[in-house]
Amino acid sequence: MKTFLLKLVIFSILVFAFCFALSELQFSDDFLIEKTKETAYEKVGWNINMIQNHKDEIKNSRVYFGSSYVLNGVNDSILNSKGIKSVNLAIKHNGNDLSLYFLKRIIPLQPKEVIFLKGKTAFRNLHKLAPLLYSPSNLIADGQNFNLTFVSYLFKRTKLSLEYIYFTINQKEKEVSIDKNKFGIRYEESFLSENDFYDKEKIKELQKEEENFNLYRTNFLYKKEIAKPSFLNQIMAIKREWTLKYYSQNDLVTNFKSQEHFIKKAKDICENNGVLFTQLYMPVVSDVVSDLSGEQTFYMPLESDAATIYYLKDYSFLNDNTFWTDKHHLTKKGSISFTNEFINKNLSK
Amino acid sequence: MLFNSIDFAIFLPIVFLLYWFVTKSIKKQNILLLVASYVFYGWWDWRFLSLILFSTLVDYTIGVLLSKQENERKRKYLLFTSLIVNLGLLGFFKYYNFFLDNFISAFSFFGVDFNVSTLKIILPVGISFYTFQTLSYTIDVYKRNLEPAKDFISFATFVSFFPQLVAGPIERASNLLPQFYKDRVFDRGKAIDGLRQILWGLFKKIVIADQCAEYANLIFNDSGSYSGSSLVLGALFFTFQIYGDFSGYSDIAIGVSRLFGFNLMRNFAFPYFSRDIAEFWRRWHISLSTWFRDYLYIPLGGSKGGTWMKVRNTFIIFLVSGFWHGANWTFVIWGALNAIYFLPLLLLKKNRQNIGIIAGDSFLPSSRELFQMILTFILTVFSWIFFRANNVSHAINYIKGIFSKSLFEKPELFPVELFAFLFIFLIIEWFGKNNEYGIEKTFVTKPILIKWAFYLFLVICIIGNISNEQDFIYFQF
Repeated sequence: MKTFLLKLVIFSILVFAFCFALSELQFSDDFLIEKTKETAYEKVGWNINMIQNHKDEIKNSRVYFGSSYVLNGVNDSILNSKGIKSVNLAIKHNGNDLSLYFLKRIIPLQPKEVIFLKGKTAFRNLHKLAPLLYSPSNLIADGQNFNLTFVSYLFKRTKLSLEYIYFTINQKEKEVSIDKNKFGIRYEESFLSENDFYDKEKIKELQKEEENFNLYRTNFLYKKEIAKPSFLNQIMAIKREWTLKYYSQNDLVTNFKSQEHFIKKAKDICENNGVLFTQLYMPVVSDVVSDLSGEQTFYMPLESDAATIYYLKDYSFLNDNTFWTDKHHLTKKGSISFTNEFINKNLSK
Repeated sequence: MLFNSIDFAIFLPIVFLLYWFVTKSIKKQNILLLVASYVFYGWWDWRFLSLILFSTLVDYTIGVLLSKQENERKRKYLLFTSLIVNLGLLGFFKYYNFFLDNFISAFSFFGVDFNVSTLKIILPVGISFYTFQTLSYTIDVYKRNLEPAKDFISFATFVSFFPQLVAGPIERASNLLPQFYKDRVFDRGKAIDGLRQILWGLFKKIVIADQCAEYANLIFNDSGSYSGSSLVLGALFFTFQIYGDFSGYSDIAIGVSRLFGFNLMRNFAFPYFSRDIAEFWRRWHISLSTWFRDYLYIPLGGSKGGTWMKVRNTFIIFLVSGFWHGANWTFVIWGALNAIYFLPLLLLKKNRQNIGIIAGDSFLPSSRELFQMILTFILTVFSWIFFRANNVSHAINYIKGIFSKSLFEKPELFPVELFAFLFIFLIIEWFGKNNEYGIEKTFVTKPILIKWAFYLFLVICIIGNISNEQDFIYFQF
């Protein structure tokens, strides 16, 4: 048995080392653009084009990073029209690793301020584009721990490395096309139906969602449980607390701590280069619901949080179905309204 | 839980280490396997665990009662109870809507309309497989070919044994059940062989089946837009997809079982190298073919009666086999087609002329063998069109599309990398055809560097072709 296990371990290490070495290949920008073309991540091409060909647009700008919340919500067209030089470099999907990757590329271009998305809760995975953008050594250097997420990342990176070799062999035939939009925002035109937005049952669901999110502030007890304390409720509260601590924030199972490291790294880079690092909280429909019912909106504070986090004290001005494309994303109309309010309440001070 | 998932990659080592290091007695090992099997199955939908548990309880009880009962009439009642319960559950979950739809269509043909709505029934994964496995147990006990299970845990583990629970091989109680009573000692050679077979199974699934699926799906889902030559390619890709997918699953199942000291029956024996359809059916999904042979074909009289009886029995077995795959007329036609292919061989008493593997002692087949093999392969590819098509009219239009002028046009899709992988795959299978599975003896006697380089090559091919976790086709059956 020992020999069997030993050989198995040696072979696994060999596979791992081979994958690691192969994954160290650095991918060209053309490959990144080609791989993301006509996908949900097509914005990568736009970002690269900005960095390569529109350096002046980034110099002294406020640069926004984050997921689709920012992509659909922070309207850099409005910001620029009001004299606030801004670029929206957000790309769909969550992960501070992606923001950090582009931050490192724009730092030499001397932006004025870098604004990362502040999530309602912590990010607990890697961005789906991490295998495309990061070599393993770079990812580790930026703060990635060795865990299941990393193993999964490494296999994907290996696959991409093989594709990259094939791509470089056939590159002559490929023509790289780039998204030519002037601004970084991408609009969502379709909006929630009135029924979906105003339905009482749906509002109840959202309130429940918000209560779930706020459990960490109420000793992991629901309002009903606080009103009627019992031993069983206390047990359930402990279970919820342990789930958060030992599962959701466990870095072996999730990627929680590594995501924290990415933020810290971003803060260090900005500090060393004299760039202001801040975060922006983007609203979701449940925030509107809780603000309308008089309950304050919260995001979960984390150790890695920036000194300044932009958020509005009241999101009830977004109380209209036409502002929302779904429960989490703003429409074009919503993004205009939100950005104007953001300028008035946060940036104009 | 899928074999080709991260979940399983974590689950398997945990169960393996607990099995060999923590649980030392057979009883504890069986309990661990039972719990692991229920976790494995419950990963999809824990609610359906109750179905497995119910089937297990019914068949265990009936097995015990059968062994104690001497009255033949009462024994028959007990057997019928098991058949009704097991086939009833299978029929309800798998065929209820199919029969209802056809019932309504048949009556509307005569001008009588019914307003009966179909139910939204979710098909429990693997129900066809474990139902047949438990049925074989009850029938064998009834026929007094098998002693009833000695204890409930062993029997429950036999029914739910996770490596083969959801897509076979459909084990016979006479082969698998006794293995739960015996001491299992770790055998390094067996475990290494198991790992090798798992590796080959993953290669078949991820490199061959999943990549072929990509193109087969493209072509079948929009068959009207492709030329005849592309449609031929689509059928060809599906032919390799279904083989890679299903035999890959069986290889992984057999390999995983070997890690725990169990031997499962062989399920595939290089079917695409067959020289006639009879040989194909002795090499394809062996556990199902032999199940139907033993529990349906032979009880019906097999090939012992007159010509009419032979024809009838052949059609019954192939139609039932087709219907077992799914509640769709396409499967029934697929079965009927195979019966038509098979019948001439049976009637001319040539169905057992090719028993051993093709070119068993030589490097290449004779020209006659090559011709027979290609012809059999073409017939198989043709029948797979019905198996893959969404419905009968889709299959007919697909075939019409093939036999059109565009058959001789350049195909719209021609994935060179996939053809390269298929070529490598066929070469390895050809050189390994005298063994249990493709790479059983490949480079085994060579120095460790060569051997490991080969395994590393397979692993990199697998990693290089990983897309999203793809379901195995046979899960739907």
